Amino acid sequence: MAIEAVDEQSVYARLIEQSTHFATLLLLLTFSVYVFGVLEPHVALERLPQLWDQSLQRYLQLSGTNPGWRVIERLGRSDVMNLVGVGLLSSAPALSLLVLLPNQLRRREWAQAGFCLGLVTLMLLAAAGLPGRA
Amino acid sequence: MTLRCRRVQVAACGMAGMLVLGLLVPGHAAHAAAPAVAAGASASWPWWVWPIALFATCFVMGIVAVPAGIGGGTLFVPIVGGFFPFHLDFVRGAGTMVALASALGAGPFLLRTGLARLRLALPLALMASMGSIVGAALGLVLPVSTIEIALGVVVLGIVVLMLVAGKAEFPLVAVADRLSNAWGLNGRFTDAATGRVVDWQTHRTPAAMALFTLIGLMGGLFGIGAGWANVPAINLLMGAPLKVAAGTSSLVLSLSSSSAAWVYLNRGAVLPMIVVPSIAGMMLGARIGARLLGVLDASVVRRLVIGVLLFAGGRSLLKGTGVWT
Repeated sequence: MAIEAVDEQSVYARLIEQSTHFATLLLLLTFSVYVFGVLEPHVALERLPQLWDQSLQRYLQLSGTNPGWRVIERLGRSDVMNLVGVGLLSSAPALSLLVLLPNQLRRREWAQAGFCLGLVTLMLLAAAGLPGRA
Repeated sequence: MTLRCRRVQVAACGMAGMLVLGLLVPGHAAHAAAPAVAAGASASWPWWVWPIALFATCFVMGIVAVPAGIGGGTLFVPIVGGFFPFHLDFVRGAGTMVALASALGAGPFLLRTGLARLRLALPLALMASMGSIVGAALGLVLPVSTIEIALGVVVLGIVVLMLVAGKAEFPLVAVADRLSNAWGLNGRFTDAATGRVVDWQTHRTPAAMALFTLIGLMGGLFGIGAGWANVPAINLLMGAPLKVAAGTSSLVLSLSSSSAAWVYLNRGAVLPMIVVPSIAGMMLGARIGARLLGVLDASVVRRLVIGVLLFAGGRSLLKGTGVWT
C-alpha cells in the first residue's frame, strides 16, 4: 500500500533522524579512537599543526594522502576511519529520499520522483568526484 | 539588577567568550607564516589545544546562533577562517559539514510539526545542489585571497541583509503559478503561538529556482550554508509564511550541503580533527541555545552577532587584500 503524501514527511523525518544519530555516534566513536591513539593514524597528531595551514594541494602532497575513493585503502588508520561517519552524515538526506521514491511512482507523482532522483544522482556524482579536479 | 540587564550580560559574556577564544589563539600569526612546511605559529602549540579551542568556540556559536536566527555555518567560516590557523580549504569543508549537521539536527522536528514542507524543498534543493557542487569545486581551485575577499564581501552583505531585510509573517499569494500548482508547492500549518490554521500557496517558482541555483553556488563556494538567503527567498519571493520558510530552508540546506560535502570529502578537504569538534560543539551549543531562548534577549544577541560578523567579514576582506594578514 502506498504511503500517503502527508505521511511522507514523517517517514523522511524518521529516516534522517535515525541515520543522523547513527552517523554522529559513529563519528564520536571513531574520533575517540583517533585522539586517544587506540589505532595508528595516517597523519601523526603531532604533525597536524604543521600541515593544516597549508593549501589542500600542499597538504595532500606533504601528508602523502590520496584523495577520492582511494582513501579506502587506509581505512584501518584512525583518522581515515572518521571519514566513514562523515560520509554517512553527508549521504543521509539524499539516500533517505530513495525510500520515498517507490510510493511517489505508485502515486504517479512524476515531478516529485524526478526531484528525488535528481538529488540522489547529484550526490552520487559529487561522491564520484565530479566535476573533475583541476 | 533588571531582567533585561541580566539578559544583556549573559549574551555579552557569550559573545565576548567567542571573540576572546578566537583572538587569543595565535591563528592569525600562523597565516602570516611562509607557505613552506616550516612550523607556523600554530605548530608551536600542542595539537590538542586546537580541537579544544574549536569545540569551545563552536559551543558558544551554537548557543548564540539559535536566538540570533542565523545558521551555525554562517558564523563558523568567517570566525574560524579568520582567527584559527587552519587553511580556508579545510575551514570551508568543515563549515559545510557544520551547516549540514545543524540542518539535519533540526530537520525531523520541523518536518513533524509541519513547519518544513518536503514537497516545497525538493525542487529548490535540486537547483541549490547543482549550484553547491559547482561552488565547492570552484572554491578549491580559486586563489585563497580571491575567496577571502569574496567571503568578506558576502559576510558584510549578510550583515546588511540582517539589518534591512523585511519579512512577512503571512504573505498574500493571490494566485499560485502553474509550476507551483503542478508540483503541489502549498500546504497547511497550524501556528502554535496563535492556534491559527494557515493555508498557504506559493508563486514565482521559476525565479525562485534560478535564485536557489545562485544561493547554492555561494553556499558551496564559501561553506557557509545559506539559511540567511533561503529564508527571504522562500518567504518574500515565493510567498510562503515566515515559519514555513524558516523550516523549509533547513531542509533545502541539508540536501544542498550534502552534495557540497561530498565534493570536499572526495577532494580530501575534510580533516576530522577540525570537523568533529566543530560539529560536536555546535550541536551541543544549539541544544543549550534553544533552552536559553527564554533567558537570552534575542534582539541583543542578534545585534552582537551582527557586530561579530562585521568584524569577521572585515577581517576576511583585509586578509584577502593583504592589509591584515
